[in-house]
Amino acid sequence: MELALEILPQVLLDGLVLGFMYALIALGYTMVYGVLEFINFAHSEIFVLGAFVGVEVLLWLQDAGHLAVLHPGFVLLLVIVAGMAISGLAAMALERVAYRPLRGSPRLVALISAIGASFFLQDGLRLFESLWRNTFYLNYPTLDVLDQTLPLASNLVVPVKSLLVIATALLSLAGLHFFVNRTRVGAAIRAVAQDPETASLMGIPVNRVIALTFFVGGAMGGLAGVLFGLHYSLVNPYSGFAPGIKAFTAAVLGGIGNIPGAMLGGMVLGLLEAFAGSYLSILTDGAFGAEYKDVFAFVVLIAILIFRPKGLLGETVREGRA
Amino acid sequence: MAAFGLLTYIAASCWLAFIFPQSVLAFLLVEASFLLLCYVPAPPKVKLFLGALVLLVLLPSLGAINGYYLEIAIQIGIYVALALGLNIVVGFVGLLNLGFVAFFAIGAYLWAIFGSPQANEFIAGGFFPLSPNWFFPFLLLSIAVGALTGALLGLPVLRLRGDYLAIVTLGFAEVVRAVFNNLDKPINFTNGPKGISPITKPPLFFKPWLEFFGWEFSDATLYPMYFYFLVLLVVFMIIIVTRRLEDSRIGRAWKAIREDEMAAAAMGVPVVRMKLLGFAVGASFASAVGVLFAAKQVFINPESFTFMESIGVLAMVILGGMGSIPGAILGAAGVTILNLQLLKGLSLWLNGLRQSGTILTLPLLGSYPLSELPVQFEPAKYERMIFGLILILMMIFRPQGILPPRRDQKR
Amino acid sequence: MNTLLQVTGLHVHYGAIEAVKGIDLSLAQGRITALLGANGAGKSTTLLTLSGLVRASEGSIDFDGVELRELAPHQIVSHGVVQVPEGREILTTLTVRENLLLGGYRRHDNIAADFKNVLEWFPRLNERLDGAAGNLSGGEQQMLAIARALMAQPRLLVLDEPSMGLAPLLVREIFKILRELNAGGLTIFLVEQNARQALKIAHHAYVMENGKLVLSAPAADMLNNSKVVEAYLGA
Repeated sequence: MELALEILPQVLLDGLVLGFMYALIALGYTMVYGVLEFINFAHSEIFVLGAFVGVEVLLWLQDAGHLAVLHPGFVLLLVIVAGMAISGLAAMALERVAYRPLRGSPRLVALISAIGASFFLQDGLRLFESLWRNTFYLNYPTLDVLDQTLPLASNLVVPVKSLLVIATALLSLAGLHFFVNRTRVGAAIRAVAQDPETASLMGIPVNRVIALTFFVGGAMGGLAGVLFGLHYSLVNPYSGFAPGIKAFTAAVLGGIGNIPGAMLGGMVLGLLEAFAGSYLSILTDGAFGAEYKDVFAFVVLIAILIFRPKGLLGETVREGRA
Repeated sequence: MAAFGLLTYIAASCWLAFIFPQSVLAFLLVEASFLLLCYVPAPPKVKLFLGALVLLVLLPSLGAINGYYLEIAIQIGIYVALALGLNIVVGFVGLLNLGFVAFFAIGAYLWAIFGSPQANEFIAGGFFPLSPNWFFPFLLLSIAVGALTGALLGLPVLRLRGDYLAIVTLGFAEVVRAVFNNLDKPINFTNGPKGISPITKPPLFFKPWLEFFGWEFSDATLYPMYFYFLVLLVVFMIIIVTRRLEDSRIGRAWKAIREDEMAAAAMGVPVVRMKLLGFAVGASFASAVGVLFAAKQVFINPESFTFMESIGVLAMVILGGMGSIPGAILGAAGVTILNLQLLKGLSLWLNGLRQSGTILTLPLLGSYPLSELPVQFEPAKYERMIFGLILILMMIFRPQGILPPRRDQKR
Repeated sequence: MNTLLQVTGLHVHYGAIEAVKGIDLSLAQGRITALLGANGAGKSTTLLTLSGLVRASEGSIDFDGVELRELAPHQIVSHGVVQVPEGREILTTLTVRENLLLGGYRRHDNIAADFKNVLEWFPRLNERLDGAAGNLSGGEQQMLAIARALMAQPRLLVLDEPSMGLAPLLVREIFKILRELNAGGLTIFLVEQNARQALKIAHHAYVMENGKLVLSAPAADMLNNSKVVEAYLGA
């Protein structure tokens, strides 16, 4: 029990980091579900793409000898902007190629196409990196700043990289909230989510708004990817699957289509996972350990869907369209 | 006339395969004879005869010369059976099951645990491995276990709307795999990621009969042949069951649910019960095939039952045409051949080129020494890309599949 | 009298079913034109085709020299043809203010003046500006739908069944506003089942039956000819 209390602050911190990451990814699922009512299964690959863009930019800076010279803040900004931009554009391209031709088809048709896109992108990344670097497991170059720590208390050491994740995520979540709720274009996104036909009768270019939604969701996913890479260092083309499913769970947990819900869901899931990872073993005397933490997300997902399918904060998805 | 042409083709391709036993191409030509059988106009009886001839005589004879052919045929058979099972759930009932491999895994582990010394870990007395004679009772048992788990999963989730159902089935399969992966403690049920081995093979009950006729074979030659016919039998039985179901009240109820769930309910179709039944039937097929798979592989671990396998089987069903039995067969055969033969062949060929130092010269682009091709580039490793492409392209250009059910063709 | 919108030989299919079977109609600048007919006659389809939500299989839609047939809905709005859809489809989860501002989405000029203007037409909305539009009453929602359309600065306002499901008093109020808008120079195209009410404010009317126009006459004549009303409008 003492041990349990002793590690609590660290567990909370880990949970927050995870939670913010899930929240960022979940936004992509929930926004796209909002406007198109379908699960963008390939969003997890958009996330991984962001992580790969991040590592490629850093490696490029390193090879060119800039990494040691440039201000680390500038480097981070560059990596984050590049990851967001390319992931956002990739998400838009994905919509154009794999989803738009299927608009109006049954929901499952688009979902199957999205699963196909997910698999295709995984191996596409692998192919690219195999030809380009002859390996598809890439390590983020170290940035000295990130490896520093702030000892806040005897039982809580805060790594700078965790702070980076939390601060960046908070900033972008706030930015997104402002964008969606306080700008004209944000209102157009909400209008399309509620009723695309009426929105088009109001003069809103529905296709462009949908593309924009993919861009914004994709950029958030890309940001999460870069942060994931900076925080955990190792990425491979398949590292998106588990975070993707968990983030989708977070989106459903908060109520699909509901943007604050996705943020809340991400937090809840991240904390839950951190607690499961650290306490399951203590609580069951070692019989079940951290290896079950991934299962946790699925159990939560299944339970939520069965008992509270509209999520914690309620869905904001239009009714009556199959 | 067409029948004669077919026969000539089959004879020629088999002859080629006999002469060039190492040639992937020759065997592909033999496999293509099934495609011809589907499309060439000929009396059904002739087709049936020719099909049986290839399946029962020619293929096994080829396999006797080159075991690789039999191995491919067995793999195809296993995937055909899985695709037929998934076809019931996805094609007939219209439920997207992304965790189909879970039922396959459950069947495989059922026999693996009791058909190997593994069960001694938690049942005292040293009864295990069970004797080969238990294989067939377990095959039957696996049908019941598969149906039961299918129904147990279905019960809570079948009321969900389609896309949520898909994700939940995916989650279920991942939970099942994680459980198999981690249930080596506190009590060692599954031996965790290390997997289970050796798994008992089915009984060679017919060996005395062969010896009676004076035919002596080593077990090593008998088993592949045995598995081949066993898989063939299972596939054949699954086809019969599926066809009977398709043309029954149940089949019509399933299709009604697929087309319009509300309307089906209004017509008095017990929607949830019928969905459950579909889930259970599909699951029982997969589970039975799992038992076969475990016995054939001798060794299994959770790695064989990943999400990719589920999607692979889905790609087969979609390629062939959802709801179409010939489609599921064609899709499974096509995808398996593509993965096991074409991509592997391409990999070997590229490796050969790499080692021989061939220089690729392209007009305008200049020349490129293939020895510099990164070793990580191996076509055989890109199954996901193939599955992905199949899914996207089929959904966009031909969602009804290559061989859609007859009803759709009329439209 | 100038013709603002000219529809020629318009055919619309839903799959194999032909919902609009070759109609010609013209809307005069500055006038109110009504399109009447029973349920399923093809009136709404005609309107949806004008707005680009449904594609015509044949024919042309000429709006002041611009062919609308191949344009996307939002482009048609940019040209000044703005529809108030049937069932007052407002965006219930957005606020009244957001609904109105989005109505002017295509415009990049200063819309603040119009915003004020529109609220003078519909003072009731003023009090509920920052509440969710879904909390408005039926009549208020219809007013919001019209107000929202006005925000787009329409040259032609198209209304699909504005009286549907509203109390008579409210219907009268809404028609009064429509007449006043018209008096200010706005061209209006109105689809109605409530024929009498529509004919009272319209200048010209068409009657549609089974996808075809069966009658075209000045509204006053139609109103006075009770046989016509009975035969075609059952009212």
